Amino acid sequence: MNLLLQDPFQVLKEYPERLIHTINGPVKTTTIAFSHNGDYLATGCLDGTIIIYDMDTMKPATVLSAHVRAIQWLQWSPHGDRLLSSSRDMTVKIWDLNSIGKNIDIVTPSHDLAFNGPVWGAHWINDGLVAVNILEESFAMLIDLNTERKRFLKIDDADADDVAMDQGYGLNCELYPLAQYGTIIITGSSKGWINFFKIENFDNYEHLYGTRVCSSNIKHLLISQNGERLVVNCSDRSIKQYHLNMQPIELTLEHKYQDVINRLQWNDIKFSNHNAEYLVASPHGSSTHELYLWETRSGSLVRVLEGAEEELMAIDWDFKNMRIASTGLETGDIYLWSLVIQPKWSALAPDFEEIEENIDYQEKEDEFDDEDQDVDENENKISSTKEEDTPIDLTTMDPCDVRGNEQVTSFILPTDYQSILMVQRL
Amino acid sequence: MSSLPSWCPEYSPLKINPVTGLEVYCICKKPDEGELMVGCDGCDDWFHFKCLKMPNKYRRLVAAFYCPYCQAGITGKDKDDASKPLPKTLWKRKCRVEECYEPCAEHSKYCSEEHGLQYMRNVVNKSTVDDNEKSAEVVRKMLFVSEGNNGIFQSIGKEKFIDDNIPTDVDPVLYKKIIEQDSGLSQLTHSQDKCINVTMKGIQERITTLDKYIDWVEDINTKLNASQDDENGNNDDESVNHAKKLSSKKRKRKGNNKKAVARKTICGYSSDLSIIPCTSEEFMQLYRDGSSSETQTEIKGICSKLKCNRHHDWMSIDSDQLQQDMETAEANNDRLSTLIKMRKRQLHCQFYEQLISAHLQVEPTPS
Repeated sequence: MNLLLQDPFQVLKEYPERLIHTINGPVKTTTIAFSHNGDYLATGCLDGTIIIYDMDTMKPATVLSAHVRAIQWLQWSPHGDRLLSSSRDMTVKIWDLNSIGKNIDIVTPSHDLAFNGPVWGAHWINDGLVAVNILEESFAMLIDLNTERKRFLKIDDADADDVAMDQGYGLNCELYPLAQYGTIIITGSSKGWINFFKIENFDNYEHLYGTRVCSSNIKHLLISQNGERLVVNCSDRSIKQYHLNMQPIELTLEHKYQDVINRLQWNDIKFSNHNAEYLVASPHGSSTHELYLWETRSGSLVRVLEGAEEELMAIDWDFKNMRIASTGLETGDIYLWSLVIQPKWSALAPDFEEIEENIDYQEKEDEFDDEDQDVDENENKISSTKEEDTPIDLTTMDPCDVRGNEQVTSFILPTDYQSILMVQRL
Repeated sequence: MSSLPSWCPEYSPLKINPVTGLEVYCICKKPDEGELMVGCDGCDDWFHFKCLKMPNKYRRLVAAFYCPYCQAGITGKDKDDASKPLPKTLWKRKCRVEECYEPCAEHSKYCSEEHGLQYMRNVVNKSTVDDNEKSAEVVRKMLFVSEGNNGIFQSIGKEKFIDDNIPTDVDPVLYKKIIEQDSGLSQLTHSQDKCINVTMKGIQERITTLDKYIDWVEDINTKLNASQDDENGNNDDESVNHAKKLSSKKRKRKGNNKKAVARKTICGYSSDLSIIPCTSEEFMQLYRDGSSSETQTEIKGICSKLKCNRHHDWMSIDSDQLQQDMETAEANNDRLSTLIKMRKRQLHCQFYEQLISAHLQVEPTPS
């Protein structure tokens, strides 16, 4: 049912509330990524298989297999039609999902990039550039997809006067979401350093800023959609939230989230959309089976997402459908929290009334007459033509959906008829 | 109410000729003179076959007869009951032998077994008349193989002869048009060729290269251990043997044996496995030369760390990767084979259908 017709108090809640579904995959899931419109959930498995689930049917839509070790990171391309997967088997692969069913061969990656170490993560910078973090490398690596050239994003000694030389190993990177300052990526290192790089193209980049936020690993680094909040998940058991100012670059600590009692580390973190009013995190340790949700403005815990029966690992948040997915550590199942909206059919017509019991309706004499006999015919005509004159635009999409997310064209996985044929043959 | 046929006179209730006093029947209102007649199931009157323009040979095929008047609703049992449909004459199915007008026996297309055999013989004979001797030969063969058993005969066509390649000489023109020039099929065969000859061969080559490289690294590691044992003055053959045993492709790193724990192995990872830079002896020399400095981690692009986290398990990752590639290629090959088979089946059906229709046009069989 159209969300606009539903009770706005139910629809416009800002975070999911209830566990609504659990997906039992055939293999343990290690990482997950929703597609841009939340139509698909790409899941990376322990044995290197990638399964893409259709979120309407909650059933697998495509299986991609080429990796031989656990998938470490998955990301949909800016246009949503390609998938970037990095794995512990020292490779990063790019899957062109448009090619499914187009070729007669089995789907293979369109790019297969080999590195000399297991890969932590890989991020799209734009359609032709990818940043990769490799185990035991100090810097992120930039890759030009057209030529498959690789280079490290190093900090020049000259700029690095105030930056300590030993930054440890580069663990993660994140693209700054707004384009107004150019393409900026932010990297986090194993010794708590955060660095800002401005990337013109593959050959030219500039180190903008570097600062140390903690003395331990930066496990995760996130920036809110509006680019004003930055959060780091450190292995010193705290999540630090900063206000990010871009001109000049400046980080101001806003909040520090910690489990005061158990002093747990955090497995994964995710921001909510827009200005990141909420932050969700999965705590480490077998005793906790929940996700914690904080309000970022005040830093207070607002909700605990319950229902899972094990420790939760990776998290992803689908803003379009207000869903949070998380993977279980032991079974590798995927837990989904969402809103349960009661369909309110009376919303379809404002004068409709929902009644408890059926009533035999007595039709009034002129109730369903085509033309109202009592009203003057001319007047009737005028009013009816008026209504018809107003064209109703059914095709143009609103710029934003009900929840205020920007509308993007959905990518639809092509149907692979030949595979269906093959399955039927078996 | 349907009307009477044009040749049928208006209904008259006359039963006895008032002049002769004889009983009269039929639409012609003539007395019975021994001609073939049929009784109407509706009005119990009798009718001449001749008057109703029915050939006498149909006599045994009548299942239920209704006269034109009953069929038109003028007479008959249910003529006033509008709810019931007007009756119609029903016929039994005729024997398939052309000149036989006997009704079929139960569960058969023939009046008798004899006629069934006669019909089939006819078919066979007719095909013998065809200038295409082959098809007749096929039918004869089929009859011979089935040994008169109906079940076997019927099952012959179900066998997958459709999957067999069609010999080009049956109809070269049609063959060329349908099978040779089919783009789908040629594309599939091309892909399969590529899969077998390029992809799989390439993977096989990479597997050999990797095996060679791993052997080389193992060789170095064995020698390293041997030399270390020498230095320790522990020169018994057993430990060398032991080291050799361990250097089989799947090494057991942790054994109960203390010697195995003390075993010295280098990582040996290189980004380009196709190059073996030097013989193991030379490499050993280089390694010994550099081993005094702590920072040595690479010799000729090969990782020489003793405990290497970064490339941990690279040998099995690489071989798994190649195995996975191989499996994918094999799966792809299977998939292509099945697709080719299906495409061929479609084309073969098309081919045979067109072949048959071409033959029918040349020699239209009497219907």
